[in-house]
Amino acid sequence: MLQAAILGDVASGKTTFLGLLYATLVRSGSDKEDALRFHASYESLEEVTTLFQQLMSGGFPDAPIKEGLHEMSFTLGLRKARRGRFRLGSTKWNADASTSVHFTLPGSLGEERPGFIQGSTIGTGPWRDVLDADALILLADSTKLAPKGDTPERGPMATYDGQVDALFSAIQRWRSRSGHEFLHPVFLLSKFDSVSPEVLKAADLEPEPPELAQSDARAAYASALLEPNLPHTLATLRGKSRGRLRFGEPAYFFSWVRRDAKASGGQEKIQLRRMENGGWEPDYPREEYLALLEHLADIAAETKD
Amino acid sequence: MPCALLGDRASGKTTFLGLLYSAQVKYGTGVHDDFRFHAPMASLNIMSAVYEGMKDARFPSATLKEEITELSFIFGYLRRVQGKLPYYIRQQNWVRPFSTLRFSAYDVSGEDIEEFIETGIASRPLIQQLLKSVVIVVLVDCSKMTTDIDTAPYKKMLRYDSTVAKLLVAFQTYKKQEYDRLKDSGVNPEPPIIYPAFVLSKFDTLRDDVLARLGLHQGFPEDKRARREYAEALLRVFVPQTLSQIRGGKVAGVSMDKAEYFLSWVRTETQEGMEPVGQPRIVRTGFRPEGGGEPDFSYDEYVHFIEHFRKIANKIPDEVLEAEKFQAQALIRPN
Repeated sequence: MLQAAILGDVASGKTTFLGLLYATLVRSGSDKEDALRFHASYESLEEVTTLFQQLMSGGFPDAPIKEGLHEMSFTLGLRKARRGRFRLGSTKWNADASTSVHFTLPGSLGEERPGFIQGSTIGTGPWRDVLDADALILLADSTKLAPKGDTPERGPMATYDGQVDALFSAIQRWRSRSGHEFLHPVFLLSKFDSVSPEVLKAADLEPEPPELAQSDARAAYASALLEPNLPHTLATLRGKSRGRLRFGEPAYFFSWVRRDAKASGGQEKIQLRRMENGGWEPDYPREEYLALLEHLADIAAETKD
Repeated sequence: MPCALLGDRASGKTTFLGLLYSAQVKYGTGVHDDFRFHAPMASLNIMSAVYEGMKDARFPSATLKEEITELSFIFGYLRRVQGKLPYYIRQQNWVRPFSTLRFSAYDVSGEDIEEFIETGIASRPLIQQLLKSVVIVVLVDCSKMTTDIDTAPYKKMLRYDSTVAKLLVAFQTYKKQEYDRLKDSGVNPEPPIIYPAFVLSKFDTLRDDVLARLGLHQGFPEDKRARREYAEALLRVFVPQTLSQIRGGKVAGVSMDKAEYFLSWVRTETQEGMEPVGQPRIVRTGFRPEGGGEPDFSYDEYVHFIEHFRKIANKIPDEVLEAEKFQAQALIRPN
């Protein structure tokens, strides 16, 4: 089973991300012709279906859901061509060719100070799963990105950067003698529709990230934004391996969910859009989520080998 | 073989069962003597009371619905080979001439199911019985199909979808665990399979604007493939989680056979240009040689429903029957 941990700062969109991931699975796995099949684990469903109901009604996750949702597991089957594109075909779905994925959502790095980050190697609860994760999904809240040229040590993401770097050290200590050698970092630039134009201008970037097929251009685009904000994290990833721990090539994805400008009563609402089939869904980049799922399936295949 | 009929509160379960009773009365007494319908006394009393009320143009009353705690019935289909045997042999108990399906109706908003969904613990006998079901019939109330997101029916449908999806996952998980347990104990079982079916209840209340929004025409197609496409176009919008979990069964090692879709409607009296006042009245057919004074409902769909399950009853893996037999023996065995 692929273990993926979702990490982010306070209010960086972690729960919304997990809800949109589930919405993507539902939306992309309900038609006969769909190139995806998934089976959720029973234990995950209570919270995640409630979250789905909230998102589909135009609401952001409420406090009880944020408090209660700490994990989601599912079995994933993808029909995939060799070059990474989904293809429709007559491939039979079966359990042997599927991948099990378990997401851990331990909390916010800013709120929780687990012992292992502070030097202890004893981890408990969902934080223990972070130490053993195959993939780390690191959320970078795009509304907190500072322009290139500002002092990173005083930027809004400086503390988060230090915490992520400390987490890498903790994982390295934990795996110094045993455990997986590989850790695959995945950056998710959340709330990307709210990134400051100044930040984009300072980095000389277009408002839209390059297309999914242009992986190098996307990596360069994301790095240009993250470099001034998460310098220690990126330096660690680029550095030589730490003991037994080796980092995989980072992957970059972009997420947003449009807000309803007409919402009244001061409460933020999600803007829902019409689907081709006549139903509703949050206005978000579904392709990014599908690509992320495909990337995780690739990691799972590597991990199996 | 245990079968579950799942429906929300006020989704048309009682009416469905009344109409099914009505259909089987007509169908089971026809010239083809190869279908049997049986129900325990309590269930039969209620179903016949619903049927009588419908013959009197009335929908089931709230009091009648409250009386239902557990409603069940059995479909029996004459096995092909046994059907060709001489009558006196068919009458012998050991022949078991009928394949049977035992249906039980469950209210997904009921206390037992709500508790199971919250805790995941199948401690109540009703839940244990439910999880053993091999056929799952899901009632989807078309009167709650709306694309107005700020309305109560939209939210109710979202909640219903979540509940049914969770139940389907529970079924799949249970079947897979049973399969693994049998395999570990040296038995070589067939891979687990569940037969799903959907009944689009109150189909006559489906609004034209909803159909137009979904790009669907009025009226349900007759062709098998077109029926499936039409029904799935509706369900993908209104119960997507349920549909995705049916499709996803295979990746979890539990095959959910192709779902079958049925309609249920009963014609009600309308007065042109006027809103109906109070409870609508059921339109009844005129008297004809083959019968009459019956509620005007989707009879052909109910016959289709009965016949669909004939194929499934004949497909039941032997080990399901064997397991049932074993369980029945274990129950009657003195301690």
